[in-house]
Amino acid sequence: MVSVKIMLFATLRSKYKTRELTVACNGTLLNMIENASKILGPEFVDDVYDKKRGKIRDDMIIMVNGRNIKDLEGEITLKDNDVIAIFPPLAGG
Amino acid sequence: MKKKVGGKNTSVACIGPAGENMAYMACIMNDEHRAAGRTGLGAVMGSKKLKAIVVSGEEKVPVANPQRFSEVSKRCLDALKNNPVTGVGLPTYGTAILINIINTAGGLPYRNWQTGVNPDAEKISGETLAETYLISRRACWGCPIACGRVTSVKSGPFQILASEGPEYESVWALGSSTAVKDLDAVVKANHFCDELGLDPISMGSTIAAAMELNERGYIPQEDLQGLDLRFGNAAALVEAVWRTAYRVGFGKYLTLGSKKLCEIYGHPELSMSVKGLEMPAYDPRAIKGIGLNYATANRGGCHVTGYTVSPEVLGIPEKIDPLKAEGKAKWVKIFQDFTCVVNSTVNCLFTTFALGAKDYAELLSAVTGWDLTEDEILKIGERIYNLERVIINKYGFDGKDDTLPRRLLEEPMPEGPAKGQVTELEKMKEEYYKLRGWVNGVPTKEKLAELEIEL
Repeated sequence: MVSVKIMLFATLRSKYKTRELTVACNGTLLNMIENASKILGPEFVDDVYDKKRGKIRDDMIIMVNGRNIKDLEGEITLKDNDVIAIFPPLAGG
Repeated sequence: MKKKVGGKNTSVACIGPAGENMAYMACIMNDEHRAAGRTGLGAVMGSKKLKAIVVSGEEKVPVANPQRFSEVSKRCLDALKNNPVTGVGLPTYGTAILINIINTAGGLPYRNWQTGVNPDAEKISGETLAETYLISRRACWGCPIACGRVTSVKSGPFQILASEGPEYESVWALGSSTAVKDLDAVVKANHFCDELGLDPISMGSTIAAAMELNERGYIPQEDLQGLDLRFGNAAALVEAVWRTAYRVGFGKYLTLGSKKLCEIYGHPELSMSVKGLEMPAYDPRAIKGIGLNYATANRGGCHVTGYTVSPEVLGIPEKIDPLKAEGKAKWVKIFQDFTCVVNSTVNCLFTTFALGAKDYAELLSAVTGWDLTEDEILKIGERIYNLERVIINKYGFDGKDDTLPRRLLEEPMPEGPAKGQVTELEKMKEEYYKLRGWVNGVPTKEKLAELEIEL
């Protein structure tokens, strides 16, 4: 098991009234999300994960230590003290 | 002026004291809080003693195909409302929502671009702005997105009644590049920029350059005339804006912009600008494509010219790796060409988070009666971009000026997810010139003929 920090931003932060939380997980993103939902509530899973397609929702921005998971190759294995930042779709200029 | 001109739908574009005093970064303010912000247009008006342009009118705009236009507009409006960025993100948080994500990606310039990681980013973020000084949102004329922020600082040394903004760029330039973490001071400094007619990007970046020059001991203290320009000094930030607009004390130096300022004090490499225009809020060592855009944008260090931050960080329209240099040239070119279309049809760039070239071709065709395809409209964009380039070539700008400050090319990013990276500009530039049909930053005769540009 590893201990990781999840950081929430924008509308996710206001919805869950949480800026950051520490969760233990087996190192996979799905397990991390499931364990986080035990603290934040079950709807957190659907906010981040597409159960039908069995992967992270395409519109969400998830960064592990500042790297977007879409830019990382292979299966993602989380390590102790990794920081996972989760953003809803957003933009600016 | 509105009373003097009278009529309904009266609108004013004017300069403030900064433009009257011909500050290099003076802008033209449009109806109080929006601006033709960059490149010192306010100083140009000031030099001609033109204070304002006031327009008023009640005629209807003729449309070639009103029914078609109505159908296409409705479809586009629905697309804007249903898109999570233009329908939820921007209206809820405004543009300052970018502070945390760009910082997380390691690309939020801090302390005049010494690094791309700001330890106090949270304090000046869009989330914090929404919790503290935000009163309501505001829309530009006719816009369904309404990303504008109406803000107020109720008490304290930086109290203001009401203002619009700050936007992401303003927060970054006035708050992150200067390392000022007091959001109320940033709100006030931005308010001064609106009231006095200054571009907050160039203003903040010039102040940050002065802070670095001063901390390194390059500015004689008597020049500063009491302005304590050190990173993080919130009071000095606000005072510096005022002194720039009115050319008071050290303001006389700040008024010149960072390029001339750094040259005067013997360290031109500390001006974080391209072709004299200070770069906006994205570090190319962490987001390489925007670096190519900064280097090749016709008006200098400009992000909106070709906003590849959209695919590189936000994943719109698709996700590309910000740390890779390969393949960026084609993105920069297409964004630059399409942006020319958006600018030329006088629309907001934010519509492009939900609409594409095909939508623009249909909208323009319905209004004008022309029959334009997606490819044709992008060709028009390419022609505009090349014509702009021909004009700057005539003023002596070419490939040698399509570059970036030495810090971004040679000083590896010291920390964060982009640690160790430099911009790799030459690699991207080679690919870009090939795609553009340019040699050393100059369009070839064949390219100009293909675009039917006759000189």
